[in-house]
Amino acid sequence: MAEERADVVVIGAGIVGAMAAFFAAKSGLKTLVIDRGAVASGTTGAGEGNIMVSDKSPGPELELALISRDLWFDVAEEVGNSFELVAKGGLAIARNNPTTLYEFAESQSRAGVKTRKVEGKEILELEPHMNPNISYGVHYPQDAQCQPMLAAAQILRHVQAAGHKLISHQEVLRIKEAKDSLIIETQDRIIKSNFVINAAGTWAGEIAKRAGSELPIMPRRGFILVTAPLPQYINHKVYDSDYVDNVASSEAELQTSTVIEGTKSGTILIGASRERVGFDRSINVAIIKKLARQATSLFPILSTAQLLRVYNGFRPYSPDHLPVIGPDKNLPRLFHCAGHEGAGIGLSAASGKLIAQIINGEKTLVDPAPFAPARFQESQAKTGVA
Amino acid sequence: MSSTFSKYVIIGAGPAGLSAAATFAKQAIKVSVIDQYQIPGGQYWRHKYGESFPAEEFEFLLSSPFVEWNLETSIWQIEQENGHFLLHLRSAGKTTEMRTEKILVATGAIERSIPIPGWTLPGVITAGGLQSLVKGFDTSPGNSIVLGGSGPFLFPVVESLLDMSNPPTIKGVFEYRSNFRWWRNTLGLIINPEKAFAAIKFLLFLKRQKIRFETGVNISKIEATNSGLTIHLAKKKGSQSIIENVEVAAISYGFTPDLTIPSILKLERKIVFGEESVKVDRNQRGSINDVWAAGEVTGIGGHELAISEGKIAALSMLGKSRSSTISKLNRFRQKVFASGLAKIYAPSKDWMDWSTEDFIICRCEEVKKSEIIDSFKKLGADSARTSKLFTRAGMGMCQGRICHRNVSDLAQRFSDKKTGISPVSRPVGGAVTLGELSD
Repeated sequence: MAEERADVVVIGAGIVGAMAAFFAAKSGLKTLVIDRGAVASGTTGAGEGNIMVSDKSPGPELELALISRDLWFDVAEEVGNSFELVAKGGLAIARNNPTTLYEFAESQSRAGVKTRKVEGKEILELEPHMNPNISYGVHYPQDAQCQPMLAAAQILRHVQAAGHKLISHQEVLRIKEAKDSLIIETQDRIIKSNFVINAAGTWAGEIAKRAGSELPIMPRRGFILVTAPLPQYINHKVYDSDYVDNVASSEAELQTSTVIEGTKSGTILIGASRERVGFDRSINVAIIKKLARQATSLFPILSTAQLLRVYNGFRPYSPDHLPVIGPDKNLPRLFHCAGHEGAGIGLSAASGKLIAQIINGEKTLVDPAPFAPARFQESQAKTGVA
Repeated sequence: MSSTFSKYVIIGAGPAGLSAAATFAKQAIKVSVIDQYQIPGGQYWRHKYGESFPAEEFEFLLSSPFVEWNLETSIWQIEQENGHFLLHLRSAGKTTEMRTEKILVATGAIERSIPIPGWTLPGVITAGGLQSLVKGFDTSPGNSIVLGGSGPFLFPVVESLLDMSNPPTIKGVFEYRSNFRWWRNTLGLIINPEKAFAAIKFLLFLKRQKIRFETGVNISKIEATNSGLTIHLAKKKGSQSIIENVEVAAISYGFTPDLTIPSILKLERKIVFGEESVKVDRNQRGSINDVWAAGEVTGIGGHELAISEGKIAALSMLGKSRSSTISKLNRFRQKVFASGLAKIYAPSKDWMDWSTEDFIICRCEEVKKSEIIDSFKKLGADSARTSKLFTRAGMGMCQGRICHRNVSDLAQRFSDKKTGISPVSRPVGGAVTLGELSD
């Protein structure tokens, strides 16, 4: 059994784990990142790379998103922008009555989001291939895009180059309390650490369980359609404003909305669906057809686009749609940074910085109360070693 | 949405699929056969439209009342529900659905593409590509041809070329493996004597035709000049030579199972004769209930083995496995031979040393060898799949058909994680447009 020591162990080498490791390492903590698979082998590997402020209503999540969006560019400068980070901007459209969309945009604007109402011709200026019967929209210049798997990999490479460690293909089996540390056991390792950050995304609940705690994070499945490479027909991240309602919905059955964007390689990504079907990886043709139909109704030029690939991923979903960032209610050295649902990539930078600040007892970039894991956790009587 | 039902479906109309269909027809049971191409025969029995069917014993199937033909039809997805399968088909610009209860997967093989410096030049094609042109259209893309690579497939291609009405000049046929390796298939040659005789006969034939044939020689590089291609040959012992003014270089390194449909069905795989193949039991049953697999997709073994397997699978589908004893004996004999061939012509990893770092491995996305190696050494990728996420190798139009195996070889050499061949995964089985999906 190999033994390791660290100041902080980050469980999960996805984008949230990578950012947590980045900021923990930057603050001077000896960091060790561990994942049961390879880097970005969880939800990050199925992500689109959304760094959005436009789809969030005023509140703690939007506040975190605005900070996170700018932090992303700082991280890219420090690590080297080798992950296609670009502020391409978002365009939310309203198919019928724009009142709800415009009121929503106004409330966001008051909360610090840059918005611009667009109508008719202006929409076609932004998106020449949009269906001309779409008359109302809001342009959000702050929305950005990255390649999330590369981002996680490059950030972790940077962290390792600074002298920290990444152990892949080792599963955390147990987390035990010791006198002034936590002991993490994997198949081949025993790791002693002052702190642990649970950044295991959709599997954060399972990790919490292995520490004798609990976290109600559930999978919310999504599909993405990928077309064959095309000329650049779509300039922004374009989505139907009913996307926002779906994100906020707690319905278990299928919610679909239209989200379309181009990528650097020329493929067009189409989403988005949300369902609670556990970890079912099978392909649902009805959903694929619905997404295809929605996409071609917004961009008729896509009807001759060939479907190249379909993939699905599991967003980590918490009961109130806010991530859990903060200390475990009962285990003092265990921290959680998970449950970001479909906004993990966008929120990862600020979440990583926030959790590092909380661990170090520094002044935090936002009020951490709304994200406290304790809101979902029962108090446990102290019984000593778990 | 037009929807049909057919209790039995055979996917693939090559030797295995046709052999299975013949079994159904002889038992007077209806079966649907689906194939992407416009005429049946697969790659092995590729022939010109209008020509008589190359395999006399299966010609009757073309007009059999028990075979429902679905040609020029691709399957882009398969859903499983309540004990049956829903095939999502696409044909002539329209999508349709077919419900079925028992499936035979006989989707054959694709060529193993090994990258050589110069492989992207015009005039450089795969031997299989050349074979398709020759058999399907009696056309050769050039008048002077060099064939190279490794494997028994070089011979049938040479035969097809010489059968043409206007055969081109064959300037040389070069086999990478050396002669002494043939003892690895001694048992196979003994119990399949007709193959040993055929091989000797063919070698004598080449000699009589004065066609240059050498073993232990590799095509190491191809260059373009004003007067055509220059083929660089490297002998194992180190000596080099060139052949100039060549119009076509046809390269073959054997085949690998086409796992597109098996990956959609999530059939278990195993390594058979060195390649990732569909795992089947002695009755050709796959790991999923009511799914069978036969032919090259279960292991690259040639058309005779495919015919035996197709028959065994069909009899099993009909609940008559006891009647397949003779076919099973044939299958055993043929598998020994195929296994021996695989040992002689084992896919070589040497190709990784034939090119420099800036060489392109994924042609669709133009990903260099150095980027792929970096994904393993610097970014922590552990397999072809994770390398793909970082480099895009395998994400392009061909979805890894050309590069997946090669990236897997690079993974095995350069990744310290040693996860082996990562399974092929292609959720979209055939071309389908968003517009067709929207109807």
